[in-house]
Amino acid sequence: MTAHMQRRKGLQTWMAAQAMPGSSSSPHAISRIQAFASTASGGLGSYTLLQVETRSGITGYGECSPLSQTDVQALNSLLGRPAHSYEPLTAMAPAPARGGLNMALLDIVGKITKAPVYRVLGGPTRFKARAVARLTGSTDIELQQDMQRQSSLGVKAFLVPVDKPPAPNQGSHFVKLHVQRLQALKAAMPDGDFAFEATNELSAGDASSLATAIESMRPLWFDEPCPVTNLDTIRKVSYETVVPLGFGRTIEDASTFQDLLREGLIDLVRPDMQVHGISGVCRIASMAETYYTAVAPRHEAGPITIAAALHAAAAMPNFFILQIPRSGPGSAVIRDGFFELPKGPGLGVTVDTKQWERNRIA
Amino acid sequence: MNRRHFLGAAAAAVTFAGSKAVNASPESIAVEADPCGCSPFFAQAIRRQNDVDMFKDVNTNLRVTDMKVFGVSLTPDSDRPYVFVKIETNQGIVGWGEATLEGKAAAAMSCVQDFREFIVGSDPMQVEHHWQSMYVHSFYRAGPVIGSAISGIDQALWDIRGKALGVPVYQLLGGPFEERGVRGYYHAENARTDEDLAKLRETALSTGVSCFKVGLPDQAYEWIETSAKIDKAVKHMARYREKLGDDIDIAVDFHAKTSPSVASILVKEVEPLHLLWVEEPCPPENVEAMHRISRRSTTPIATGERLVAAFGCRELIEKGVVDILQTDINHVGGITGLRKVASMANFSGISMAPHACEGPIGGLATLHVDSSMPNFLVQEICSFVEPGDKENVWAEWFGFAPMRMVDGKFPLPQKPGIGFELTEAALAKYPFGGSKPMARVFQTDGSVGEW
Repeated sequence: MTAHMQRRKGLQTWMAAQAMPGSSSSPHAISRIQAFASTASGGLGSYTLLQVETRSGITGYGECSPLSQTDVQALNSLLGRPAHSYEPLTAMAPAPARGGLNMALLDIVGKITKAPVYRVLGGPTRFKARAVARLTGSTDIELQQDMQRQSSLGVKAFLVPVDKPPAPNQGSHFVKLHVQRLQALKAAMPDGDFAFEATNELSAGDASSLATAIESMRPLWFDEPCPVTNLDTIRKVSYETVVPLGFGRTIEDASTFQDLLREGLIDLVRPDMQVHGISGVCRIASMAETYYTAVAPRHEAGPITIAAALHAAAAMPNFFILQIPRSGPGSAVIRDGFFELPKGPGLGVTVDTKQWERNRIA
Repeated sequence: MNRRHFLGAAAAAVTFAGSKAVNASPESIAVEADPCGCSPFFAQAIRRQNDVDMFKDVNTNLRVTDMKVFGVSLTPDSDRPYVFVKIETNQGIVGWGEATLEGKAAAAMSCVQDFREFIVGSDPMQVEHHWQSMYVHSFYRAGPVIGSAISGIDQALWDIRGKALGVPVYQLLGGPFEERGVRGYYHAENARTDEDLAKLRETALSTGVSCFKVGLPDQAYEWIETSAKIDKAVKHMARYREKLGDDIDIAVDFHAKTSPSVASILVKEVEPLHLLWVEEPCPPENVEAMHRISRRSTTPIATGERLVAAFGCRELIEKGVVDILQTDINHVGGITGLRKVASMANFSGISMAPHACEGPIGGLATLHVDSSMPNFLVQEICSFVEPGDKENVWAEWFGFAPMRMVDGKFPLPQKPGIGFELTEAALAKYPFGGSKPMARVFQTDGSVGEW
């Protein structure tokens, strides 16, 4: 992060704090914030459940990145502030808590207004949201079996894993292996559509080789083909192929999306729900709209996050697709390849925190 | 004195000194503008000049006596009623122009009348001056509504200029580059079967028509597209090339239905078809987004029908984003606006394929500008120039048959002005049916799609 980016980020937090009184006479002032660690601790998909209560007796839930005790203490500085001020409060929260706090506060605003969050935000812009299923399996046969299993939901779009390369730079074998993988899946489901998911682990050169090799197969997009470090390395991929590129996994500062959009290096904006929250993702979507670019929110946590992502999808004009969680759709309903919108009020997800008690972060 | 008082006083003093300078001119009378209510301590210092005829020593005796605007709906529920502007003068010369704005007819008509004070009482010959005044003094510069209104008035002024000077407008513009007229093209979308296309090719060859335009096969495209829809679009385009042959130019209008991501794939895949151009591969506000498409393919890119004035085209031209510009004489700012875009595009080696898909007045007016462009490629004209049940409006209004291409070219109008006479009575049969929305397209999930 450059010095001016750091300064800009610092200013945002500072300005939010200036805008807010220390305590509020609002009936919806925050009276209590509790945090619980998810059971899947440590690895991908672990998160912290936030429970925010107001003086008026409304409870909102969110899922954020794993929090430390220090983070939770810092969050408690928000007590007494009005819960409906979700923008300044999100900016004032410690970074790992922001996305989840934003969800919880919007959940509260929705419950205050007795409306689903997407209606609070000006939606719905659509009545359903297209789903994409992530395929898992260690062999091509297993991937095909998983595709057949998941296609029972009516899903026709699939994320296909790219193998973690054994060394930074790969050759013909690696490219051919993945071309064959895609060909086999396509042969097994001719009306299916596929996106490669490389989780940041390819060099730009390898990403470009692979993208060029699959271009004629018209994949939906290539997710995280290479790291977002030097924009000029991505430029190589973007100039050498017209396969649409998706980025977002590692992007914490929304201005990095602006850099990618301005330089014409991104086709699918993939902001993470835990990092940016509902309103943050919608703000990024507003910017992407001016580049005629779509958004596919990324989420790795639990049932609240998938609901939050669906509310965001139904609040923005340029949503494209949302992945089905690894653990299955849960309380979300998928029909003919599309998620139904959650009903609300608020996020429309109920949580029984009794079973979370032993994971409390105090 | 508190801080606010001090700032207010200083600001007022500066502005007051400025307005004194205006007052010092004996030629002008400054009058107070209406107060806008944001300056509580001091009187409003903004002034406007009254209508003093500063040009009385250099102008003609010709004066505009009235300006009228007509909404003309060929059918009661037409989604694109024509908007015609009529300007009358003290010497009996009448000029007509077209300000048609699809889906926003009432707004364009109203905006024409907003310019009444700019035009009535003035010398219609100083068209460039009036154009500047309408554009600059509108403060907000031009969007499509102001652009269309200016276009209609500008055409009517050029019509008067030509009639007053006794020559067709193209001669005032320094044309023609081509005596035989202006190369045109037709749409080929209604030719669906192989037999249709074979017949179209035959007709084209026998009549000298050298170019057709088609659209994409699906009504809407999403931000990222499935392989099936991309395949369908590519095959659709390839079929036209296959059936129409290599010796007929084919342009494909994406109509901004596609995102830059989808368009990039399509224009690259159809490179071997050597299309004349792909049009509006994405919407026009973001020039760099369109640049991303054009620099990743050899397929020529065209755009411009939604752009207003040379100001609206400047970035596309200077960055070399497109190969062809298509500004529309009824939106870009009339004859004056279209001529300026063409001139600037020519400096960058960019060709002109102007759009004129509204009524016959704009269709006739654009031919004059086309014939004076060094970088003219081909003209799109709708307005029932092809045989059909609505072509009789030409005879009803102008007393002559619809203009038809001869050997692939629209002959130049040869009468003074734009080249026709029209009476209000002739339009009475087609009263204004009100504004109607253009096609509204929605995606599978109900979200808004580009038409």
